[in-house]
Amino acid sequence: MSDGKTKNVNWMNIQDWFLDRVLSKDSIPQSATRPLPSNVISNGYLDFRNEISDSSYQEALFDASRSMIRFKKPHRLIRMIDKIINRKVGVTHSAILIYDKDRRSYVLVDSRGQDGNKIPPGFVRLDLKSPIVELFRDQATAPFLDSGVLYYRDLKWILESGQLLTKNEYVHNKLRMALKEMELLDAELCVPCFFKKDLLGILLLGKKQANKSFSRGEMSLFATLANDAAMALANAGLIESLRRKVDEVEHLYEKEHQLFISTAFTLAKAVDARDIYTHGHTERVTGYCRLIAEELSHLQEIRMDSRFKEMLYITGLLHDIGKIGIPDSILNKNGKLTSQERKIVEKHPEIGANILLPIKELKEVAKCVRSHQEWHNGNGYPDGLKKDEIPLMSRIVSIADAFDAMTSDRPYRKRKDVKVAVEEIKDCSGTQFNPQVVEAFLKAFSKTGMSLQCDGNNLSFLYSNKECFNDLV
Amino acid sequence: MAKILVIDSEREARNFTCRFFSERHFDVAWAGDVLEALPIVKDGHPDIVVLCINTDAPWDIEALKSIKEANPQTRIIIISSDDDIDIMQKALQSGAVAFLSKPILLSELIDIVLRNLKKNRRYFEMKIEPKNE
Repeated sequence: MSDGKTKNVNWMNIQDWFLDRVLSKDSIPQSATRPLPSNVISNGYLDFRNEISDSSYQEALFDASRSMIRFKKPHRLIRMIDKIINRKVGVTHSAILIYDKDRRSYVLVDSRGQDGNKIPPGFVRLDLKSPIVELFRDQATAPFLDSGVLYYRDLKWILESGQLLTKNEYVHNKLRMALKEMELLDAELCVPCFFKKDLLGILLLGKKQANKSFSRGEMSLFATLANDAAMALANAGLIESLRRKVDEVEHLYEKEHQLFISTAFTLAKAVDARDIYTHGHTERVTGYCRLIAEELSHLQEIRMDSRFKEMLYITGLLHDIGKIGIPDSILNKNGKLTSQERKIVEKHPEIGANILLPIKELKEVAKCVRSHQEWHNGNGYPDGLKKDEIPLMSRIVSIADAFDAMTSDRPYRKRKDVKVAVEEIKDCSGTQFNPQVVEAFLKAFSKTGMSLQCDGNNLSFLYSNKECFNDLV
Repeated sequence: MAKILVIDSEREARNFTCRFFSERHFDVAWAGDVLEALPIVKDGHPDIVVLCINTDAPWDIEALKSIKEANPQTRIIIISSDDDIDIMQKALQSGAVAFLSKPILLSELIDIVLRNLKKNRRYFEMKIEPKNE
């Protein structure tokens, strides 16, 4: 044996090779010092069992089919089939090749057999030009296979003795080339795994021990197993592609959703950009809404609606969108507004709602935008709604809006102290504001002081990657 | 008889490749890595070296060059588990005559071997059957 250290290199020929393999530690798990077990024939073929009877084919098939359905991962299924075959029939080696779309080849994914006989998984493939593959896939040649199976010994005899039932040169050539390829792979039997018309895989079997021939029963067992395997593989493949499609759709939805939120946000910023004195107002109001809603989470209306918080967020973002319809001169006026000008400004909830109405997903939002200036006692605008006629989201937005208005600078007055603003809101409970929501506001204030951090937690909680708003507070 | 040296750290693949060639009229020697292989290259003068690069065996271009240095006549065929273009180019520039990435086409491997031995297919197809002891 060549150990690389001797001066004279020991070149092995095939006979040396065999002796070496059989007797060396490598090939058989038992140590070389123990005598070979009685079922090991000296040429290295392992004898697993005696002749297989017909009834045990049925058994084998039944066992196999029963367990096949359990496998969700194709590669385990393949290994199981290999195991069954080897258990039922003693062969020198077996291998399974599965079609790989990316490589456009049948790749050897599992194999069994002794060292030297066994082809390592992942080592070889057969591409679409391979004679064996062509033989299976080609309509013209398929009929010449014995029950769809390529049996080397039979085929060789048939070709050599001129017994083929056709004089077709094409078929002869194909068969001859396939035989040569089977010699390369040391395959005595090639069984196709068809699912409908698709060749999903190929099962290779080496010679039987003592070079016995394969019986018809054995061949049809393999053919059936192979096709069952193909079906299971196809199923697994379908499930896999289904899973991928679902993931794709989920991903798309996520992206659409984010786009939607971003658009709403951008729209809000556009409106804010015109109104220099209330820059950042929208974002703050939205943040306050969120804090208030936290304290109302126990309400059935919020509990039952998983999208409530998101809708509230959007309403907060878009509540002043109607201001786009208010002329600059009024919007950015330096002093107090005349009553006529006030009337125009008071149109903005309506204008905002009308802008949003065409978007059917935002119908609820449009309604709430329209009513965000309504009063609890009915003295609000545009519709004079009162108490529970006002949607919950609008009730929340009103308070948040008012609070921010009081605590920010205006052209005609400086901002009020936060505590003063809170008192005023308390005072207006029952008149302008809904008492329940005022209570929630007060709770939120005592907990957080209505301070909004710029860690993105409050305002961008709907984004998966939390972004920070730059010009906040 | 043509001489082939198979260098592969994976035992299964090595055994398969060795048997594959020894059944077909080649004299075969094997080694687990280039270090082990160098003395064989120097003293045995293989016609072909089949060098298998696996992910666990560190790959060094110097290894390739040292084989060439030990015996410039030797033709080196690389079988790699990696199909990286850069490695392929480096290998071919360093003196390998062919680069195959796994899974390989056996027919391709044979063609390359025969081409480099200037032998034809018929030589290869005369398969020797092992005799029973």
